Amino acid sequence: MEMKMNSILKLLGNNIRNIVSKQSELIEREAVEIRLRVNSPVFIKFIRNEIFMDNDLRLSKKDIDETISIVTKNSIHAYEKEIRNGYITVEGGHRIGLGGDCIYEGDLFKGFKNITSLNIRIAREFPGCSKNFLKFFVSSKQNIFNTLIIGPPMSGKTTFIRDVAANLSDGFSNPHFEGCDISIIDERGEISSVFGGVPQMYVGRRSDVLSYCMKREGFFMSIRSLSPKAIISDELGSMDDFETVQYALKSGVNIITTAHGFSLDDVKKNIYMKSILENNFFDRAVILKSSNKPTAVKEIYDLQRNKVIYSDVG
Amino acid sequence: MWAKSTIFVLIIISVKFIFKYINDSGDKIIARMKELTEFTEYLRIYSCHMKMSIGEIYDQYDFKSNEVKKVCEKMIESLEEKTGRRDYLTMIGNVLMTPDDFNRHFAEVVDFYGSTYSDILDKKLLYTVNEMENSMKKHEISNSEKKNLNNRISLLVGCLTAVILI
Repeated sequence: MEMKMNSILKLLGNNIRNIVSKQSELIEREAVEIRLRVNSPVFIKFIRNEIFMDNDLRLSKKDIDETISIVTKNSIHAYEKEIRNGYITVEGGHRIGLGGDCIYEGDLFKGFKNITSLNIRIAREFPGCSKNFLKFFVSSKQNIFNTLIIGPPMSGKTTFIRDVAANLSDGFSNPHFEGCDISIIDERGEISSVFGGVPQMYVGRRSDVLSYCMKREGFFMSIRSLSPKAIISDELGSMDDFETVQYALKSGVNIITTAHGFSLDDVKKNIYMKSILENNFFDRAVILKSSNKPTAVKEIYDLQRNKVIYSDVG
Repeated sequence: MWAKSTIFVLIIISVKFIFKYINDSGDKIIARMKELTEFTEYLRIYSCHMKMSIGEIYDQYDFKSNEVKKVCEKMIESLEEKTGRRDYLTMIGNVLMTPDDFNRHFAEVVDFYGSTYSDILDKKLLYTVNEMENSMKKHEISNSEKKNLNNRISLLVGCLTAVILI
């Protein structure tokens, strides 16, 4: 579990930095989110609990603006695309969610007139979190199962898939897997947390990352030009995905991806996911559950044989 | 006799060189104005179309003059420290020796840069570039008039100085 406190502190305005640095050790060890809101004290969520720091010190708009200036390096225009998605990824892979007065151009969200709240989601790498489950991802020393990772929000799907990507890319020994070329289609820049063109998270020696790339284009581009053994992407479940996944499988490329949900049945409530699952595009489904640990696997299904092959229930 | 003639010619040449120095310093100011205007246009394109941050743009721009580089470096500092344009304006004048109205247009950039989205920034920077160009053109015309006048009177002043001194 690695996170450098400095990478967080240097993002904050002076006042906020002074408040937060009082608990820097605890934050470095356990913090999940730092929430900054106008007229509210600094709020920090830890793995097990949450606290308001210095109840009397309420943040002003100036404090938030100062932090925004630092985060955007005094160049908010350079982060427009990210702001339109509602968050900014910063050095260290941390993600800053934004809230405030929205500006629209027609029906299109353009950005914020005033940013009034920030949610700094602290990125941490958990190398080895998928180690015990890698055997369920490979069928031989060279072959990979098409796998769907399912989990509710905050269950660690991205953390898990990042570790899987790094291991499949580098190879592992138990069971023996040689390692292979992986393309990561990182639509929201979360898997590799690219900042300034440099992945902030380790994703493996043989991984090519297409950051902030639409899934459809990313799949087509990488299959044509990067010839990966497997493509790893985040969050399946939109209209185009059926065609995209089908194209990849027809091209002989394996897929490992994630979907929101608590169970297989829950995922099937999404009609696009239902058709993908009913057409047997995936060989395996890994179900994650919410827990205090970075990732916790609840069940693993063999979808071809319709059988549970791992269970942590009970 | 030949010694007097040589001194006479030397005085004329020296006076000519003094005038040439005056003309060159005017040209240097124009060159700095031109470079700062070009930088502002570069800033507009790379900020608004390539979505680059001021730091990245500064690193990438190939500055010809150290003075302009210093002014742009100070601009980043002013943006970071939110010191506003007044101090910055004085600094530009001291370093570049460029006219006040030109400096004022450039210094305005620190008031809006970095806090506006690209479509607005594009319009504001385009306006700034146009204003800087207009101011530069005015100064260019007056500089070339001054240069013509200097060239014309340099010989006359040279002769007159030589006559008075000899």
